[in-house]
Amino acid sequence: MSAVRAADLACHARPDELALEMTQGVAVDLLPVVAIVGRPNVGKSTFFAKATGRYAEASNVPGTTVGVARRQVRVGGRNAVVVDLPGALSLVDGSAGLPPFWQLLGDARPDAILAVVDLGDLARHLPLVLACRDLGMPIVVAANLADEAAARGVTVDVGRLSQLLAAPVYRTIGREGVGVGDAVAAAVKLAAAGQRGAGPARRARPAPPYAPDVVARINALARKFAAPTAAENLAGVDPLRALVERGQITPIGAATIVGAEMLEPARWVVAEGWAAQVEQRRGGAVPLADRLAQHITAPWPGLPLFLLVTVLTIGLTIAVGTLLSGVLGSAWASYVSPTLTSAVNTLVPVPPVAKATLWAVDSGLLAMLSVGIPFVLVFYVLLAVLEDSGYLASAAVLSDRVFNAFGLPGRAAIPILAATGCNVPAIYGTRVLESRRERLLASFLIVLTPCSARSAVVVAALAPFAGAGVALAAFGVVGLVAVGAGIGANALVPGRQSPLVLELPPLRRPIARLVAAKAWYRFRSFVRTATPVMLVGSFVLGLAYETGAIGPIESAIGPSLKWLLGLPAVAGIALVLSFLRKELALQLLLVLAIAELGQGASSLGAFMSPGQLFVYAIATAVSIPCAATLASLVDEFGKRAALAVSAATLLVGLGAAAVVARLIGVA
Amino acid sequence: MPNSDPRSRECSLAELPRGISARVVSIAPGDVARLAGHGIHAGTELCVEGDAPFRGPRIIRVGTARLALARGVAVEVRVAPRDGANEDAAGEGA
Repeated sequence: MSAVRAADLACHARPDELALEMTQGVAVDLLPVVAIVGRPNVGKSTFFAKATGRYAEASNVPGTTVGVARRQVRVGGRNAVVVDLPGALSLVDGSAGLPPFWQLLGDARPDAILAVVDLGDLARHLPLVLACRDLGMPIVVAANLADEAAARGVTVDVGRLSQLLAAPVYRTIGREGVGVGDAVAAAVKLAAAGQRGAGPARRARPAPPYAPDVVARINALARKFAAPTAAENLAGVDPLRALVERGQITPIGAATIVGAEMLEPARWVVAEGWAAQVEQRRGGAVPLADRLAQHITAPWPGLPLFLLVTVLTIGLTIAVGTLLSGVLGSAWASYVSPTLTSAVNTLVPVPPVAKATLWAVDSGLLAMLSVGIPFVLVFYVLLAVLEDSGYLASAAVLSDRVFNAFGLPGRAAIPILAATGCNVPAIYGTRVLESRRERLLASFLIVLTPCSARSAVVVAALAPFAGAGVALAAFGVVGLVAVGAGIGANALVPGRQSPLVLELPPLRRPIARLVAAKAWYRFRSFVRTATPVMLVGSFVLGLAYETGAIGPIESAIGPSLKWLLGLPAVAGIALVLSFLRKELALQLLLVLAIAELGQGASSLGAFMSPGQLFVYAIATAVSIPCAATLASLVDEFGKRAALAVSAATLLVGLGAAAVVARLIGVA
Repeated sequence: MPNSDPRSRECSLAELPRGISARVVSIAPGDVARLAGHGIHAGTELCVEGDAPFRGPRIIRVGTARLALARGVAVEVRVAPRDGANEDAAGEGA
């Protein structure tokens, strides 16, 4: 098995792209399929990455894999497809807005299941294995996290476990790759054998370990699946029937899904009994990580620590980001910019188009570089450390009550914290939430949260001309607006919040290689979404500016803006255009002011009062999301919802700015 | 004896004092499925380890796992404390 290397990651397609490629390929259709199944946070994605030699999104936060990733592997001389499914508590689990897990599993069309379990916590992990076995599919068990089990003083008789389960069991350490290859090879071998015609009905099945009355009731349910005419009596089980007819699962397997509510407690009892038979727990020393875990969710020292971690994360991002941004900016200005300028001027003969092109490739790319790499990448590294250490789950518990006010569970803290870096990844991050309502409410808060580019505008517009205290006050106002709007949205949007039920992962020391791989993987998808928008946006902006097309827009919105916010017309046009490039809201204002009012306007203070600057800063910080954010909203929620969120934000932003303008006597 | 006095000592999981082991007696129908996947069903033994601030989620220990349960869910779970001293006193209710 090859390790995950950062160099590998730069040139591979995203898993979802691969999925498309592969499901359409006829040759791939003929390959045996192995599905990786396991409870959340047992290390499936890390396992998958080790098995396929590539990075998959994984964290020490339950429920990171929300999509389904498929990859082709070659083990033991066989080609096969390995599918990484999201973590599931049971086969009927339907969280994260997905269909019930058995349906996801069925869609993957596996020939064998590779069940990943926590070797140190078999009693909790075996019920899912039993449920998979009940389906009648061949299974291989990877007894993962063997290192953590050993550290907790848990020893397991793997041979005996294998006998009880009537399935091969491999001891594995996913993060180090120990045993992963053997487990995958065994699963692929079983899958290939299953494909050659030993269908589920023909395989010898182990006797069910449940009480006779439970077995009898399941058998009665199964008869309805065996007899085609009775199908219509089982409402809502059509996809299940399809699985039986395709030979993927047995009629008894289908019956175990219909009767899951009755079977599930029985499985937990069996699992507890089997775990007790095969494991030995050395009592005594509780590992340091476990003792720490208890303290960080307690009010003391948990709350101060939470504050410290939040401040450190944001502070470090800003400090390192500003430093890197300056270095990159000056390097660009002295080495790249002159070359680009002369190259574009030679290649593009039409002056306005040449200038607009330079807006895109020169200032557009620079903006991408000086916001993207320093702020977004640095933040992703810190976020990955917090996730992999298991701290974020504790943070979610600590902040649960705070987010309840917005109709959100505590885990919304994760994407909203990310929004202070950049809104785009934060919106994709709302996938950790359960319902569409929660995801939309969180996205609304995210769009109201100033990203690093918008925060920079607030600071640069206010600190030099009105003082640092006023800049701080502006952030205070923005915070109050977001809190008010969030509470209001929760009251207005129909529906209820789902209460928090979260399994807390153990604390783990993050592995540098995995942290780097994760930060890089996310950074790449950020660059993919934001770069085209940035380039096209800058080009359109440049063209409008260089050809004088801005004039008519300005005279159209000027008067109403003067009335609403008490700002000069140039400020209005800068606000509108900042939809394309938030971080340019300030430069744009200056450039436009110089063009319109002459060189005397080279400083903001020359044509806007501190009060007007304050209103302008607030309107920029909250008003409309930037084009890249809008694109990601459409991508995640569809056009209607994206427009609704944007319109609500615009309304809140302009409304708040108008109120502030009246309070301080600007309008 | 276990089950000797089911009524008098029963309480909701939201009221269970910290550090006391208890056995789940029943779960409100709406929360059965949500909790089953976490291994909480009638008969499960658990213990409250702590509480998040501001009357936040209760931190529950079930076997080796730690779960955070919002109070809204905890009130739907009826539990019977398993305390040696109390068990003797409960004998008369049988």
